[in-house]
Amino acid sequence: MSFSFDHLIQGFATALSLQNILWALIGCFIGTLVGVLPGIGPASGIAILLPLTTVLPPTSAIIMMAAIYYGAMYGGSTTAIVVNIPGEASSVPTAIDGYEMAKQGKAGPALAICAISSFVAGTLGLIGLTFFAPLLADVAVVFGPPEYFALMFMALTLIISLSGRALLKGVISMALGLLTAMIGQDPLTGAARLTFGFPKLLAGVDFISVIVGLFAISEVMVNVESRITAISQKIGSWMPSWADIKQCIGPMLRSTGVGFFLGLLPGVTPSVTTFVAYDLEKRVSKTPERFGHGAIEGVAAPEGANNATSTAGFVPLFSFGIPTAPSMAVLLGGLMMYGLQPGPMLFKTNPEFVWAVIASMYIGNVMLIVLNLPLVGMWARICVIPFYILGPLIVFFSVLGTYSIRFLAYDVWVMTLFGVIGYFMRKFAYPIAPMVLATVIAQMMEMSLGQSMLMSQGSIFILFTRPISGAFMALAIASIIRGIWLQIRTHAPEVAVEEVD
Amino acid sequence: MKTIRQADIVIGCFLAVLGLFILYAASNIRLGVERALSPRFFPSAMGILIFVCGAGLAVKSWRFKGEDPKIHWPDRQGLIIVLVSLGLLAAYILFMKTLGLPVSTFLYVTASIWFLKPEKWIAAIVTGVLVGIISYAVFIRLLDLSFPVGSLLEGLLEGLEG
Amino acid sequence: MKRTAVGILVLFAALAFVWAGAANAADFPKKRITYNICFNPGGESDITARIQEQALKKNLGVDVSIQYKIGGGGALCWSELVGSPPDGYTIAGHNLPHTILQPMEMGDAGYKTLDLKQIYMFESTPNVLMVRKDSPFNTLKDFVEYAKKNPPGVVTVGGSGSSSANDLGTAMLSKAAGIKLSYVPFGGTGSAVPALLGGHVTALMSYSPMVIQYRDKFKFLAIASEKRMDVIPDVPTFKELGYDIVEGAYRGVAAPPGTPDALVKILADAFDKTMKDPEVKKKMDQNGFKTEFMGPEESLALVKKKTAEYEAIMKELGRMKK
Repeated sequence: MSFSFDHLIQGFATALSLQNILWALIGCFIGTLVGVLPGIGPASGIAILLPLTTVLPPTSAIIMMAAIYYGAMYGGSTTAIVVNIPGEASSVPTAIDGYEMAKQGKAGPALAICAISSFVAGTLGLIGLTFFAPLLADVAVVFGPPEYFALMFMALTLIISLSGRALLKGVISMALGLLTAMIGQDPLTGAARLTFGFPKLLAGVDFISVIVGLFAISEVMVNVESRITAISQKIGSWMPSWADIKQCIGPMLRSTGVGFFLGLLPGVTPSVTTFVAYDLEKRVSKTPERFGHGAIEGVAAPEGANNATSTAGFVPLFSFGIPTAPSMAVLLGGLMMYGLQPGPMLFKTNPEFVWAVIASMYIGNVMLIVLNLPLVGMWARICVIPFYILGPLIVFFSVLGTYSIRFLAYDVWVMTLFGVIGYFMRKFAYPIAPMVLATVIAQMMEMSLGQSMLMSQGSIFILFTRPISGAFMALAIASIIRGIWLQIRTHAPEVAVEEVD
Repeated sequence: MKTIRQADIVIGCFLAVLGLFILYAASNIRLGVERALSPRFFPSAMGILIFVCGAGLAVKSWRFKGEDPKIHWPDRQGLIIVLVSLGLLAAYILFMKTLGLPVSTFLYVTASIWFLKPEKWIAAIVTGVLVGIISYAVFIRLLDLSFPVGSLLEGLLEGLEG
Repeated sequence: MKRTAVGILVLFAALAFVWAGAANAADFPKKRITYNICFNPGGESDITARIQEQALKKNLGVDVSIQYKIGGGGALCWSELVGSPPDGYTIAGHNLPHTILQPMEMGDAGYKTLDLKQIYMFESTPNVLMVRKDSPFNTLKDFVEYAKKNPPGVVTVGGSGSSSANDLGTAMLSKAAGIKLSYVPFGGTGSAVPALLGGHVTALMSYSPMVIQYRDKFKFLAIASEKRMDVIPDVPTFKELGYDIVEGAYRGVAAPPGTPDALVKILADAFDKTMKDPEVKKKMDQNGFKTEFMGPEESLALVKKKTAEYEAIMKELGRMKK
């Protein structure tokens, strides 16, 4: 893939017609609506709306698909902030601080920062894609199974900082999350595990049901028992102050960097990078205790990483023809409908088309902010709706979204179960975030370890002898030791967990 | 369990037992093709981890002598509300298949709002009807997702269209 | 008198059954069909489904929604399929030998081979052994000699899935050449290819479409088909090189057990028309797939034949679940 200004300009020329802009607008809006539903992320969103795009000429269709993609990503964050329902796993860190802000009447600024951060990250990411894709592609394949495992393991050590002072409980939460993810079939061999003879359990536990249950349902339960009137009593201004924005510049840039580079690796999804970015901000912040109680950086960082990772996913796609996530594959399918062959030849055989796609992604990004900033006020108002109406509606959305994962009532029961578990976790002061992160990365972590062991004929030292994985493992172990040391030193009671969740 | 310390001790012990149980369940996993990483490894590791942490938690909390916050259990009224709400949710899921999405949604939403605020029964019915209709129009018709329509509604619609 | 009554009742019941089946078939399909793909995006199953998608929608008259259910080398997806309602609206791509080998090797894979109701078998892709362009191996002979010189298991071969054609192909090569290769399973070809690109495994035992896609990045040492494939004529067969290995994956679609034959026939006809569509045929050939046209009965016969074959091979290799 070689860069040339001509190609890019050409791409913009093709993409920027009045008609196409209209399609982008519609795509963005529908994408947002669809993304708002938990369980329906960008992949399903595009897949569902794909038929609509077939009536359009190819370029318009691709533009609409890109717009739907961006819209769906944004929709997931909206519900995370306003009603504590993360639309998909990548919106979870956003929910942690975003919902707190909503409770304080600051849903407007939170939503606005989401859009701004996504826009900045997306634009920077696209620039990275445009100019540096060939270099970056080679970086992507340097990661093999040991590196993936080390990365995931390091991500898990993040729970130490996410647990506040309740380290033991954080570890328990993580272990239970990993365990839940192991119910079903072993990722390497397919052997049945922890199913206790129930064939239904072979399907395993889908992490969306877990997330929706732990966040949305348990929150509703806590709210109805204390008979709160509404999530927030007042609405402040719906735009962030300049001070807020200034505070977020650092987080936006850092999260874009982290999200983009990690997103280059096939298989590393936004769900992981958003956690990493969130933790990074917490560590570099001068006031880390604000995180978890409505720190605006805690919203800017995950959102930036989310967008950056999704954009970076296009690098392996265009360089090797490998879609790194289901949403990429759907886009690829869309491209194939118009006679394009997947694979590294794509750039050589059809450069104009690819550049039109890239140009349309810039447009989609702009469309996102143009469309959503004005609507921030509307979304923020949802928080003031009396809870006796909003509560049941939240449950309705949760049920709808969870059911739509696989159209199995089983998933909705799992959601309910985890709602109850989440309720008790809040009562007994257990951190929820570690459980969520563990559920999301468990499969990849185990598979990578298995592959690594095969590569090394059973020796675990392969993780330490290779430079990159060795570095990650060292960081992770250092993190663990530091965490234990801090715990022992401060005699922190497992009891005090005010700062968690 | 009125305070967090008490809860930690009880749950810690429970978790320790759970950890042992998981170890047992893991040892029963059937081994298939021989690969370097056994399917039993991770579950066993988790079992051990949970046992250690659970026991550690129980012991640590037992020995703790500092400030001990109380757990915010709901009062009697709150407890009833939570239980009934859960019950309504369970009913919603149970009846979704037979009654279909729109009808069961209408019932659930109406019942829940009415339960939470009995005097606003009009709002309850109106919201229920609206949401029911939206769930049908948007998710079943427009987006064409495979939600159950329910025999009642199907019959009604067939009657209307026929 | 009683017997006549019973006879008439039975007749009615039978008629009702047939009528219900027929009535169902009359307005099938009337809503979207879910086509589950059991492997990573970007792999052969995925690419084929994308090629088929448009024509399939045209021939069925309804939308086809492609979903992914990845895990266990496909076992997750197939075990879910057998638990799905047999109303014709849920189908899944399935592979031979995976669906034969997994129940054999795993004891309990969550499904039994014959539970999958065959609809159609539309392609086959022979195994191909490939290495990076900058690797020291130029022929299969080089590769085998290298493996002999090194401790057993040091040479790693990646592939898609466990108890899959790639898995078996590697095992068969190991046995035939007297070497021990370590097979490293990946979620699909889509995640195995980066592993070879990055040099994390020595070689890949993958499928013929990869030859076309990665022509300028990999060297192809041998292909496990009877004869060389027209579209990639410079890849020698294992047979030519002295190893009697003919192996690869057959791909088709299956439905949950108990799906009425009438519905299966409608789906099979749609797939048949799709595979015969000139656009589809062109793309399949271009991408290195060998198209097959096997309906329900032929597919079932193939499954049974292969099952017998594999039982023998597995016993030989010592991998049968006791």
